[in-house]
Amino acid sequence: MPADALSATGIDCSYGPVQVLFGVGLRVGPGEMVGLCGPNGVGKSTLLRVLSGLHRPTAGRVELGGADVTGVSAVRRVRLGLSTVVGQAAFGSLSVLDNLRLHGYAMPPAQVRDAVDAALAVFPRLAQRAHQPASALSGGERQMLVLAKTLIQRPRVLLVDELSLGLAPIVVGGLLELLRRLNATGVAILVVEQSVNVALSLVDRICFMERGMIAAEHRPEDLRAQPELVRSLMLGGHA
Amino acid sequence: MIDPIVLGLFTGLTYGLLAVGLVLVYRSSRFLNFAHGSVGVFGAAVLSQLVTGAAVPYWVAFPLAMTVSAGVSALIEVAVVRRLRGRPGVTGMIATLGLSQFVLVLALLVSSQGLNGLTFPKPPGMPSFTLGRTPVGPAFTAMALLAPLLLGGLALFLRRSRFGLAVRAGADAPDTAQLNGIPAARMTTLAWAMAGAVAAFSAILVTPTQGAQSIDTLGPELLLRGLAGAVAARMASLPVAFAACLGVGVGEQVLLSMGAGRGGVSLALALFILVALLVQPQLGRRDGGQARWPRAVPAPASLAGRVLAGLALLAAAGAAYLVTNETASALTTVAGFAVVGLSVLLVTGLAGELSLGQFAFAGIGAAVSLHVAGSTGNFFTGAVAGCAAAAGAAVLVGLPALRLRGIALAATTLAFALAAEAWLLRLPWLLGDGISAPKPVWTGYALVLAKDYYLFALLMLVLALWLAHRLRAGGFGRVVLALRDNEDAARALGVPAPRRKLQLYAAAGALAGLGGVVIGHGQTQVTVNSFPAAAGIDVVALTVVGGLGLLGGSILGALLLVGLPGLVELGIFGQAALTLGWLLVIVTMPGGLGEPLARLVGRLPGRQRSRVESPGGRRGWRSRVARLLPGGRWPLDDDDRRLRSKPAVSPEVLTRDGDLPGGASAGGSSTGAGGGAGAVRAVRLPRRAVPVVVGAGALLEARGVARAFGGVRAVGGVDLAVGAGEVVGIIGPNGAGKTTLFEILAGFTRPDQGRVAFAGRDVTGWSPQRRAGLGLVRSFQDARLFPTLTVRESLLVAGERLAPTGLLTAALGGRGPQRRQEALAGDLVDLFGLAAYAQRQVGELSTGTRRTVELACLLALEPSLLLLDEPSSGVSQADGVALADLLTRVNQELGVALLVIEHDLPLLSRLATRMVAMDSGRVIADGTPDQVRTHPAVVAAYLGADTAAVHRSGAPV
Repeated sequence: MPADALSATGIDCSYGPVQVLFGVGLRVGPGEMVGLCGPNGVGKSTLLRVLSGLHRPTAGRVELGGADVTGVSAVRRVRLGLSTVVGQAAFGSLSVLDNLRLHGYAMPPAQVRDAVDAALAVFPRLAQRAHQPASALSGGERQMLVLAKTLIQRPRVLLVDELSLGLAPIVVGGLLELLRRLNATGVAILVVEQSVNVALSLVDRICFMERGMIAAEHRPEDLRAQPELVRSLMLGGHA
Repeated sequence: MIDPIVLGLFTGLTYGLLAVGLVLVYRSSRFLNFAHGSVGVFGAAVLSQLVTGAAVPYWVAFPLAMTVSAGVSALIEVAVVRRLRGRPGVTGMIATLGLSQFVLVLALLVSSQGLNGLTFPKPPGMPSFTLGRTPVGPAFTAMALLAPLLLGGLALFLRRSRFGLAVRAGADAPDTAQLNGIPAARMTTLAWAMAGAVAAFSAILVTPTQGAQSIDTLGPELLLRGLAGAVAARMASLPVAFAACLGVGVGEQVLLSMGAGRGGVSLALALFILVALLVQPQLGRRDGGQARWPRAVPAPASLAGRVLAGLALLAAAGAAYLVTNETASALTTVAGFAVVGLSVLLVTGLAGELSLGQFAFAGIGAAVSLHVAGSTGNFFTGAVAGCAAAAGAAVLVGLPALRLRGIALAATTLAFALAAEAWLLRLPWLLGDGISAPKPVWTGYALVLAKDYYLFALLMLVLALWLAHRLRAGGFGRVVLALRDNEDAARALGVPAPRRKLQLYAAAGALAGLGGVVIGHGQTQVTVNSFPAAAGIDVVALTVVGGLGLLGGSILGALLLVGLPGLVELGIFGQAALTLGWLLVIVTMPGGLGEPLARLVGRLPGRQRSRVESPGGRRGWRSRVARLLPGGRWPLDDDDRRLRSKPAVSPEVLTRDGDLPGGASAGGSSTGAGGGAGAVRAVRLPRRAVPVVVGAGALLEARGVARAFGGVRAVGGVDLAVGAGEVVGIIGPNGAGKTTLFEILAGFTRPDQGRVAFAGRDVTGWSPQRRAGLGLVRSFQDARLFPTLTVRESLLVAGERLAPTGLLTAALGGRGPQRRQEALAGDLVDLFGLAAYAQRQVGELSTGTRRTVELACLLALEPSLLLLDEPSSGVSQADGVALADLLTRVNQELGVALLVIEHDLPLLSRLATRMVAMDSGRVIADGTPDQVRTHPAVVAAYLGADTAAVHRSGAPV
């Protein structure tokens, strides 16, 4: 059986003396798309930080393609094929082109040039603003710039946080399409999403988090058959 | 005329290199490195030692010395700066000020010859010639040749190379950089190292040109010239900073040749910096609230604490009879510094700004007091005049500085302090060349003896303590804290920000003046040397070391940093050790030395009059652990405050009621069981004392409003009207101009064209606080409020609009406004069910709870119209629904009109009776929610076809 693209087991995490994650475990199989939902403040972004390597867990294991990366820094995880996209986080003072070039920092320079050109072809809006500073872009364009990372880094596993925050529905629709296409090429994706409906339309499985723990896990088909369950999950509690 | 220009260009080269280093460091760490010059001096000392002591060839020692400086600079970044990340910027600046002194002392230790210009090694093989009548030495030639090379290389590196881009990226967004595979921390260290090398380059080539003056005496003056250029370049562009410094050099030489003297140059420099900073408001603006301010420690309320304070006072007074005159004189100086330190407590501890000029105000106070007391023969009149003059000067300096914050203010006050020492205080009607000091007279007995005067100084210290306590502890202090934590939110709650800030500066100025009076009259002959610019730095250092959050902090600090060197003979090693000591305290103890002492005192037995109570009935291990921590609260975290805020058991205030004593639900509503929408707990809304404003026509009207930012049209010709009691929603894609429109309606941005009218009055030019006074109030998307204030304190601040605390009332301890505010706050806490959260700091709460607190604050202002910016953002769906219901009730029961920006369409449809759609800065549809949702232009521009994205909340489609 092939190893999971990404897996976490027994993750405990604290900020100083305050524990925020309690024995969290989840897995993303190869080529799977998994959603992580839950109310605000429950620990979703922290979990993502642990998975991407920005924050060390106090207990537990993180594995990337079967290899233990718990102690590996974020910078090295990028080289191992893990990309993390956090909503609209670009380098505001640098131009769009420089931002794209930096997406490929961990890659050989010749490859980067081609990858950047390819990305600009996929996002003509970015090509139009190639020399403008990223801070001049609108929210949706910045999100595109950030997602362009996936085209340049060609990861095996992708973590996405706050994809739709503050963006108009039409923009979100376009970004969701991009994720679907990416997943179709075999990239395993974990999406943190505040809206259950958006997640339902996108993923193979949804994990629900509550108060620092994984409370439930469902498949979209099952949820669609039980609207009562969805309603109570969406309202933050769970039946 | 040629000579000063040529000379100016050469000196300008040095300043330019300093500026380049400052900008480099600022861009990578958002940090103003006051130790930059000293690191360069250290490199120069190393070179001197290598060349003259170890006979190393000059051109070999040069790069070696540069490398050493690079290493020192990198070490500073790793050992000090990194540890200070997340602390307020003020701490970092103070730390580098201390480092500056420390590194300078180290440089003197390294180079036994000293750094005298005449004996310093000059670059061999460089030609020297004469230009006009100016001899141009080899050092100048070397500078003229090598500096452009160095700069060009640097610029190319940063713009083009991978590393250069990575350095800039790491400076811009360290986490994002790491997720791109960029080791951000290492890049920052690299930037600091480069800056250090540049500083050494500059110092090595400038020292031989200084004649007999040792370079280490130039200190802050040299830094200021580099800073002037850096500031003119907005701390962003290396070439502009360099060019500006060339200008500074030329200007300085031209002024000197016209006979302006050092004083004139300092004054011109100060004005230049001020104008440069005012012209570009971006620099030093509020640092986005990322900094974590320590919570101020209230004055000891327990019996034990007060007894201890009383005993300390008795001991201090008793010392007057035991010590010699010399010791008493030293202790007087300590007391004087402590009083000036209290003014720093107000400006830095309360308002969170770094002012390096407080001692200059002390000097002004002393000068005026001496003159007035001398001419009228009455000491008391003199002292009062001195304090008033100092307060007035503080307000004069504070007026242009109102728009400056952070490093901009620090730089301006440093410039002011230097100008004061070099020019202002030397004016004949101030200190001139020195004036004699009349002594105070007590029942006919003049306090000539140092011991007697010391008692007087002690009395003044007690007076100053009392004043500072009164200002800190009441409504005035709260308002200032609110302004520090989140000025926009405070203004939106009706706090008159400029007036309050000026009041604070005046009060701090008066205290500084009092300190000056104490110091000045304690001497026989007072000259400018009693009030040097360096003392302004020292007094800030000692207050921070003692503890910014403590009333007695400046006393402790003064005892250590002024008393110790005054009473004990410290050699150069001792001096270095002391400086190192206070550096360590600043870096490792954010609360200063006094904080652990204060906590110890707080634990002593004694009747506690404190307001801290543990929230009732909270289950769970978290609350148990919280009670064990000092202060009963979690320490704050700067990172993901959102995530930390939601404790395991304490749920959102609106939808669950597990917090109430006994755990039973009160007032009749329950959480949705088995699928019903989470009903709102019985929140009772406050009855209005001020009736809702109604007039003929629309309540709020915007006509032809337009606003462009740098060529981009954010809002173009918008007409909008909201009637009394209406609920109107605004939708539109990102960049449609919704938030800009809000800022215009709320008064945070001026429109280029158009008018805004509220309740029939034209409010287009009105400030946010004035509009709040009329009933037009806005909320903020992040509901950040005031992170270090408790919920109750935030409500008290909101109560300021209806019951403001005047400055005099605060100073004299009047309780009237406080009582009214407390009544209002108490009501709101009860009505909104916030009792469990009342004593918790706002920064610890989850977004949903913060929004509820914000709503309570807004309602305290008795608004007629609320501008709500994405109220459901960051809140879970359940709580979003509950919040919407609460808003509906606010509208229906209190008659408050609502104008709401939202992306969550189903939510907005429940709430609003009318919707307005915007796109590209214009209104494209206006009607009922159904009309707008089906309007073709809206569908095309905004909704798109992805149904899941459109129906973000509500039942699955």
